[in-house]
Amino acid sequence: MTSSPSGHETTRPILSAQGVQRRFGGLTAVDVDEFAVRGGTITALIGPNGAGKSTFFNVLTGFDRADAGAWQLEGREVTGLPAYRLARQGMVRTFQLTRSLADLTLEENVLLAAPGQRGEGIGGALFGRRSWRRQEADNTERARELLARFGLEQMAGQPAGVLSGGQRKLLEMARALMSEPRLLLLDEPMAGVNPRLVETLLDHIRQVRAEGTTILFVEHDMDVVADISDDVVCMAFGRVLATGTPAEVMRDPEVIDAYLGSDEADDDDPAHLAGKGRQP
Amino acid sequence: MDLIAVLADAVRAAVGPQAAVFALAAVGLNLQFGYAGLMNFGQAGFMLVGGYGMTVSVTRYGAPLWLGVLVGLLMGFLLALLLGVPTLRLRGDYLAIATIAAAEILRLLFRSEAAAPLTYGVFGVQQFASDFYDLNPFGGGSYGIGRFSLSGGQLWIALVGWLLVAAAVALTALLVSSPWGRVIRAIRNDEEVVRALGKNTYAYKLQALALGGLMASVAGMVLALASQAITPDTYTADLSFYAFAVLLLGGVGRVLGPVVGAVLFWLLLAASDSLLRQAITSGVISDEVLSTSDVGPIRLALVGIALILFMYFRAGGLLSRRTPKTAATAKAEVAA
Repeated sequence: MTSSPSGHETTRPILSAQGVQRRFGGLTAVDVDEFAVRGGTITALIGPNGAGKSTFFNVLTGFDRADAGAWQLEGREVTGLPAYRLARQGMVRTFQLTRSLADLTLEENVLLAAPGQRGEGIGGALFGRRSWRRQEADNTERARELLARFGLEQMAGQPAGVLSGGQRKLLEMARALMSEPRLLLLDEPMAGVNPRLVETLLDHIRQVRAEGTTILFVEHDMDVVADISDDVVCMAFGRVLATGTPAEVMRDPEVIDAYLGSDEADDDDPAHLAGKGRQP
Repeated sequence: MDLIAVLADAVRAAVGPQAAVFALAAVGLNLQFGYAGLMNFGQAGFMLVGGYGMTVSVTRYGAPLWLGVLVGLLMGFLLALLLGVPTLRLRGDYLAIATIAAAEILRLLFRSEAAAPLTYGVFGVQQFASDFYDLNPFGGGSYGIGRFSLSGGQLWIALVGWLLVAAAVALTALLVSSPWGRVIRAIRNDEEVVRALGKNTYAYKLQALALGGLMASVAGMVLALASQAITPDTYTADLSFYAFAVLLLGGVGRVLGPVVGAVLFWLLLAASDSLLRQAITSGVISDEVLSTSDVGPIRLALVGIALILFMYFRAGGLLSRRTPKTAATAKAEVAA
C-alpha cells in the first residue's frame, strides 16, 4: 500500500511468535504456529468474533499466560515476560474498552507513561526531588505537545473522567506514544467510534508509522483494515487462516468462509466482501 | 447542665493521645485505601503487632524502649509482607478478606492460653512504659486553661503522638505529590493500564500496604504507651472500622483528611458522651428512658449517624474536593 516497504521478506520482523497456544479447559482458544509483524508496518489482526484475536493479543502482551510457544521482540526472547517488562522493552498496548485514569488529569495521564522517571521509586521520590522535578519539566513539555497533537491541549488540566468516549481513545493513544514504543499494539481502536473520528484515528495511526513506530492492531471491520494496513493476518478458531496484503487475504476463500460463517457477515455476499478490499 | 464541661471534655478528647492514635492509623489507611485503593480491613492487626512487638521486647526480653519500637515496626512490616505477597496479585477483594481475617486471628492468637508465656494472655500487661514517661519533660503537674486541662504525662504522650502524626502526614504529602504518588493514584483508577505502561504495579501496591501498615504499627505503640497497658481485646475489628470512619469523615485521598477526621470523630464521641451523661444525671432525660450505662453504645450510634449524613451530603468527607461538582456539571463546564 502506501509508503511501506514492499515485499514480505525485506524487513526483519519486529515481533515473531512460534507455536503459541492458550487453552481454557478443553477449548484451545489460540493455536498459532507462525506469526510475525514486519518492522515499520501497520499490521492488522482480523477475524470473526471468537476467533481468539484478543486472547492472542493478551498472551503476547503479558496480560494472559501461554500454555506453549515462544515469541521474540526485535530478536530478543520475551516469552512469558510480565506485562510491565514487555512495556519497558518497547511493546506498549491499548485496550478495547478505553481505559482512561478518570481521577487523573489529562496531563497526568500522559505523564504517567513517561519512561525512566526516577521519582517513581520511593527513594527517588523522597530524596531525589530536584532530579525528578527536572525530568518532570521536560516530560511535561512533551506531554503538552502530544496532547496538542491529539487536539486535547485545552483540557490538559481536567480530570480524564470528563472526556467523551472518542476523546478517551485519543488520550489513550497520546498516553501510549508518551512511552516511546517501538511496537504499538492497539486492541480494536475503532470499536464504538463515530465515522469522523475513525478517519482522525486512522490519520494518527499513519502518522505514528511515519515516525518509525510499528503498529499491530486488532480489528474486525474490513473497510478499515483494507484502507490502512500493509499486512493482514486473519484468525479463525484460534488459528491463523491467512497472511498477506489486504487484497490477498480478502480474496482467500478460507477467509471469506470464516467471515460468512459468523453473524456479523450475514448480509455480505463473498463478492461484496472481497470488493470492499479494493475500495480506497 | 454544664455546657462548658461538655466542651472541655470534647476538646480534651479531640487533642488527646487517643485522637492521635486514630489519626495515625487513618493516615496509613489513607495511603493504602485513599491513594492506592487497597481495601485493608485489618488496620487493628497492624496496630496489635506494633504494640505487642514493642511491649513484649521491653517486658519479656528487657530490651530498651527504642529497640522495642524497632521490633514493633519490623512486626508491622512482616505482617504487610505476609498479607500482601500472596494477595496483591489477585483481585482487590482477596486483600480485604485476608486482612480482616488476619487481624482477628492475631487477636485470638495473642489472647490464647498457649501464647500467654509470651503475650500475657487475656489480661495483657500493664505499667511497662516507665522508660517513656521518664523522658516526660512536663513533670507531674496539670496543664491547661480553666476547665480544660491535661496532666503532664497525658500532655507528653499527646505531644509525641501528634508529632508522629505530623511526620506521617509530611511523609504522605511528599510521596503523593511525587511521580510515585501519581503511579499509586493511577493504580487505584485502573491497575491494568498502569501495568501496560511499564510499571510493576504489584511492587507499588506492596509498598503502599507496607508504609500504611508501618504507620498503623506506630499507632498501636502510641496506644499502648498512652494507656500504659496492652490487652489483645483492645485491638478488635472495631478499631479497623473506626480507622475507616475517621478517614471517611475527614476526606479520602486528602493529605489532611485523616487528621481532621480523627479530631472530628473524638469531638463527636466525647461531646455526645458528656452531654448525654449530664442530661441523665441532671434529670433532663429521665433515667427510665436512658441510663448512664446506655451512653457508651448510643454515642457510637450518633457517630454512625454523622457518618451516614456525611456520606449523603458530602461523600468525600469534610475535606472533599470533588463532591460539590458532579460529573455532569464538570462536563458542562468543559463544554462551555
